[in-house]
Amino acid sequence: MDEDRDLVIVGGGPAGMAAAIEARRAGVPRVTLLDESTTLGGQIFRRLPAEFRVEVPSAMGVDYQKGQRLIDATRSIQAELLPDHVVWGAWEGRTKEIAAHGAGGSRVFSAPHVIVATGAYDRPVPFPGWTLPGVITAGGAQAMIKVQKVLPGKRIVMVGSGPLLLAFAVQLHQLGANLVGVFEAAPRVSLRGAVGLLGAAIRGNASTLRSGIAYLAYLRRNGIPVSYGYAIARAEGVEEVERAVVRRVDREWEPVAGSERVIEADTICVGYGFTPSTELLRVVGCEMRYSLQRGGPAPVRNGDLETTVPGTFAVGDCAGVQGSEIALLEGKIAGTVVAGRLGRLDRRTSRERLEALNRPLRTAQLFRAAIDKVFQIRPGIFNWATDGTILCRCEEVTFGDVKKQLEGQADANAVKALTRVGMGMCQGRNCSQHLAWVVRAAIGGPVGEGPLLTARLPVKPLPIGIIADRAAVLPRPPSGPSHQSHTVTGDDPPPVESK
Amino acid sequence: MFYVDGRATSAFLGESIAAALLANGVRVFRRTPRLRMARGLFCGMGVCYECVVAVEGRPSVRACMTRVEAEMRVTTQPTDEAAKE
Repeated sequence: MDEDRDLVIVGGGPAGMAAAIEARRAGVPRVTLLDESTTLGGQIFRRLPAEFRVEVPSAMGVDYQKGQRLIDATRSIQAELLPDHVVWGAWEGRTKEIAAHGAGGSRVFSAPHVIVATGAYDRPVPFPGWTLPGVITAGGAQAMIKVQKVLPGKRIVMVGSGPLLLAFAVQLHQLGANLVGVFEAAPRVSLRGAVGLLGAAIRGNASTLRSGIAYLAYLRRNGIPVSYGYAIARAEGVEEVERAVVRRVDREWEPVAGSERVIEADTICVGYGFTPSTELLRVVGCEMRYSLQRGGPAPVRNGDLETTVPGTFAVGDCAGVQGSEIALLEGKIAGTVVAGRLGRLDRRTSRERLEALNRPLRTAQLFRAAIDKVFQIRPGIFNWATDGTILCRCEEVTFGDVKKQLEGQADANAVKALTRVGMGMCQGRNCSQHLAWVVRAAIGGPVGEGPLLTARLPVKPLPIGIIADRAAVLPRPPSGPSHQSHTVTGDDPPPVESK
Repeated sequence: MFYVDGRATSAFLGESIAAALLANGVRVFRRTPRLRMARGLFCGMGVCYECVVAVEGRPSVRACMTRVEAEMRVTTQPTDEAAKE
């Protein structure tokens, strides 16, 4: 099978789809877009299962319609769209290679340009009891309620921070959830401060501010208490969540002693932002920079949104969590840049298109920076766990286990070897930032980001048979009458006698 | 109709195994190998691998990323075979 392409895009969310559309619009011939899910859309534009019938499309909301238009546009551009494909490997060499596994087996695509648009996932926040069934991420709750139409529990407490917290609380309630409380970690005065800051940055984005006020009014009308300066302390229960314990936190999100409140609940929905999915970028050696506000490690990029690995671009939330508007613009920019590099656009057209995209991008970034300043993640969040709290969920390793091994070690990878932290199926996605924090705290000095676990292939867990499938992964040896040897692969007929 | 640990369980065509389990009041999807901690749905998008169940005997399948099919046999982990080891 010919797997040579001009552009491979990893991730079919807003950034990936925008990149594909723009590249095809400029005439880039062989564009392949891969996504792990069954449908395109990423997280924000996640589709209902195909078998579900939507009786009132407008009731699905503005985002859903927008997502459908984008997906329809992506389907119309004659790019190779491969959902249900897990991208597990990437190699840099004479060309770039991307390995993906789907129903038909493993394929390795070759291209001179790769756009990584792998998005982000809910920031994992360890606290005592966080592994109990009933503790779910805001994204997980949203997937259940919006997409699967199933309520995750009967009495839901929401804890988190940021502009999405209230929006999501309203959405949950509208979809039938019994929401018993919303706890925002930022202090109330932040919202008033927001008006001033946002007023300076808004140009045509006033609707977001109006929405925030509307959300608060809705929650008040429906008797759902919203508390500020409160965060999750612990989840209690034997086999599942039975109670949520929240407590006051100060401006740095450090717990305030003696301020606990116990709430009867069976579900705790946790939403303290998102963290970029950067494994593929790290495995090919992109230089990373840590930003707590952007969610964690993010790739260093130039003005073309190219990483430090030439020809590899990173767009959307995987390059630092900035939301879907910026993701769309960045996708378009990278698609345009690649088209220019392939000679599909002359320099003038390329420059004009990029200028036309960079203007709204700068505006969106200013607005985003203002929002981020108001709703900052504060480092106290790293102190919500105790020594007995599980750090590595997969391998059942506690913070205390790790701290014991840190005497004499400053290396996350050494600690991994000693405790198995980061060796489980999530491949460090749940624990790596907190592990980095703990490692840094142990070696002293300014507490900030620490060394990350090394990303390795495969970047997603796969059965070993897939990698051992030589017929799919290795190129066939050259055939011809002079070759006496015969390499047997799974699909070959039995060797014949040579004459 | 599909089967969870041998029990006939109703589901909607197209929904994820995780959704079907939650809708039927099942929130403990597995127990951890060492400490036997109860675990269930966490991230809902295929990243955390907490929701893994065995499907037709095949282990470590993400319930949140896999659709229910008629007559599918799902078992919570560890499977009986693994538990015997």
